[in-house]
Amino acid sequence: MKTVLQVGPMIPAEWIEAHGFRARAAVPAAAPDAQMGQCAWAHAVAVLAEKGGGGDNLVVAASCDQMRRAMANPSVAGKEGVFLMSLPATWQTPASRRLYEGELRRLGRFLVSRGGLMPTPERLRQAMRRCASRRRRVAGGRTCPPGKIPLALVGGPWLENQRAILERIQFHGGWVALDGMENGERSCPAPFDEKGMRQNPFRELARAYFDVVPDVFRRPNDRLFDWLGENCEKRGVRGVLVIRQVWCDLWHAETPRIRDCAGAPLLDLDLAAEGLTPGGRTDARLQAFLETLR
Amino acid sequence: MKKRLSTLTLDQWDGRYRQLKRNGLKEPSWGGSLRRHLRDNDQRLRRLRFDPSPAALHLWNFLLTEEDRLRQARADGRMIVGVMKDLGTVPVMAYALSNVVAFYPDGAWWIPCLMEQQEDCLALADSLGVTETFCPVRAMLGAFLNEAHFPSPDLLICSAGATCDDFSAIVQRLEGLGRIVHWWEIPYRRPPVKGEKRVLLPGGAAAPASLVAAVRAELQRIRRLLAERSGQSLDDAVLSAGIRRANRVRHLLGELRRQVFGAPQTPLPALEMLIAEMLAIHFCSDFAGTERVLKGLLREVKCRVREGKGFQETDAARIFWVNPVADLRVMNLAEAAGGRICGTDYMFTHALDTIPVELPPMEALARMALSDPMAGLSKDRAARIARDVQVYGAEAVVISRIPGASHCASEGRMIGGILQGTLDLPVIEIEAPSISDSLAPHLRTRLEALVETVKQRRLLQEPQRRKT
Ligand code: SF4
Ligand code: SF4
Repeated sequence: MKTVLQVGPMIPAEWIEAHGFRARAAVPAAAPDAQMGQCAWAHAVAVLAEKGGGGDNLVVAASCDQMRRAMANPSVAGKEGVFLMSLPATWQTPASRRLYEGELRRLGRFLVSRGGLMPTPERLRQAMRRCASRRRRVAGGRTCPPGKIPLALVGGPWLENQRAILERIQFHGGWVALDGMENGERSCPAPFDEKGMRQNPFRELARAYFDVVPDVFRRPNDRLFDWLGENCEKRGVRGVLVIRQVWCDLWHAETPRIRDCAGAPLLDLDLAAEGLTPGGRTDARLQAFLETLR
Repeated sequence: MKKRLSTLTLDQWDGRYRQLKRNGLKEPSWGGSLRRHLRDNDQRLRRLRFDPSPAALHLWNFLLTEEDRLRQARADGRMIVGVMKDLGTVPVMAYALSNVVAFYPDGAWWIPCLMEQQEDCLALADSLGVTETFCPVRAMLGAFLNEAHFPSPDLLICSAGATCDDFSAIVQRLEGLGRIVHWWEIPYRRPPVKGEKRVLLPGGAAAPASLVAAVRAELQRIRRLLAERSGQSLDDAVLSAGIRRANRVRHLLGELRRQVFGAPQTPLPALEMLIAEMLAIHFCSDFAGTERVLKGLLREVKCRVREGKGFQETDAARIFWVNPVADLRVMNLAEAAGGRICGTDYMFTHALDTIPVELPPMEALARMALSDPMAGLSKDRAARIARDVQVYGAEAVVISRIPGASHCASEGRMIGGILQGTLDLPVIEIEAPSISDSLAPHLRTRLEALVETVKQRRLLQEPQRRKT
């Protein structure tokens, strides 16, 4: 089975699987030569796309200007095996839902052109059930180990080398109780409605993602804050880490609002492309933050 | 014999104004000396050089008194609509209604420049965590909070989707602070694929028909909102009349651009041209005033062209300018360096193109909205620039990066690369902050080097031209 690498929120893995591919989130490492002001993630994704997705098909959902522009680079745009999906920012109108559904259909045509199968409603239903049960397995059994500090991670995507922060969180006595990063539980669709799935699985799929997934780029984006407030309380979160790329305006602008709604102390970590080095400045800030929560 | 005109400093304008008054200058209601705007803290005027004509005086006064007009509109009981981001579409709808005034709070972009950062807009934005990693439009957030620059709008309408991150993030922040924002979607203008129904847009780009339909549906929502809130009908006939009126302004500007960019000598300085172009976006809160100002400028320009008058030598390097400058003074600088502006893309070319009148009005507006150069591929934007470069005979391109802007991180280099590949022209990228005085020598050197390059290329091309 061929793999489709996916980047960005609201790309249903179910849709990819229904076309006969395996869906996997791409996690590129920082790429050299980013321009001043450019989001390191968008740049790394564009470099990955330039290489044609490293042998796999690559689907990128653009939810921001930085990503759209990085992917519009002539060395990337139109590259074989690379698909750019455009996500509407608004979500409360039939027109924006139609746009999203249109993009899913376009993605479907791309997948077929890459050797995928035309998905029957039944195959889509099966993929939806499979993915839902996988998600349930991953979500089950989360209890904070004794002596650890339950934290929420909130933010957009992060590069492979930036993920070293997870080890440092553990090292300093923290524990991730809520994963609000891109590709974390925040980006999961709503539970599928059986009746909706029976009647029209495509519509139900679009509903579960488009009407529900909270994200910073959505207009309006209050759902992100509702989701965060609700889940921080439910999981007993004692500290919030906002993890964002230095030049990401969308997460940057909302950090004060996250602070207001999370109901717990917050540390804002704007990560440079190279990530974090043990004992470095960011690591020291993390350590100090966790010490104050003890 | 060509006659050389000179620009004036603010101090020189005092004398000029007195002289004009003595000679019986007739002024519109917004008239007066330029200096009086210092009372409003527009300190940057001290550092600019201005066109000496009454037409230019009216232009500046018109621009700098917009706030008074908005406050008057409020006093008269008219509805004030704050239109955001789309730069040119929603105002056409709003101004079709007689009891509505629309303006762009986005204009706060220039507050840090005009007031030389001597007001608290940026400090307020900073206090909300919107720091200098954002473009100068962050001043708008402060302007909403201190209410010192425009009256609080009765209605806020903002486009979202294929827009810059800076603006979208800042308006969302505003909404988070309790303002009600009516968002509408402007989708990313991807190229149509094989077999997909396509529509040709004003400005020359093509879009899938499905995207045009989506924008039409979104604008339909805004149309209902405007009609409902104003209590007036915004039916097709009213809208069509609004479009025809907007087109009158666009035609005037089109003619002004042709005259100015095509004249042997610059008949109107780049700074005044930049401001004149901006009038197309929302008519500076007074439609009739806009027409009057543009007609005055056009008359002046035609007269100068006829009499062979201009601001520079005929050999000034013809420069195409991309993006507005955060510091207005840079436009003066470009001319002082020996360049003249022959063609512009200030990110709102869709507000300059004629809106198609042969189409149903909502379809025409949707097409226009979707032709926004910032909503599509940089390649499309570059293609239009390349075309205009040829139309106006520009010999070099300056891409002006806007500090912090999400699109500038990569777009300038992309457009530059495409233009160099297709046109074989010198292209430079510069970046100027809202107050660029400390960088002025550096900027000037770079612009002078560009002018020099253009002149050397002329020398090299001359024998070839003669041969052919
Ligand atoms: S991190 Fe921010 S700027 Fe970068 S791609 Fe994601 S949303 Fe865009
Ligand atoms: S300058 Fe660029 S980034 Fe700033 S508001 Fe305008 S379009 Fe957006």
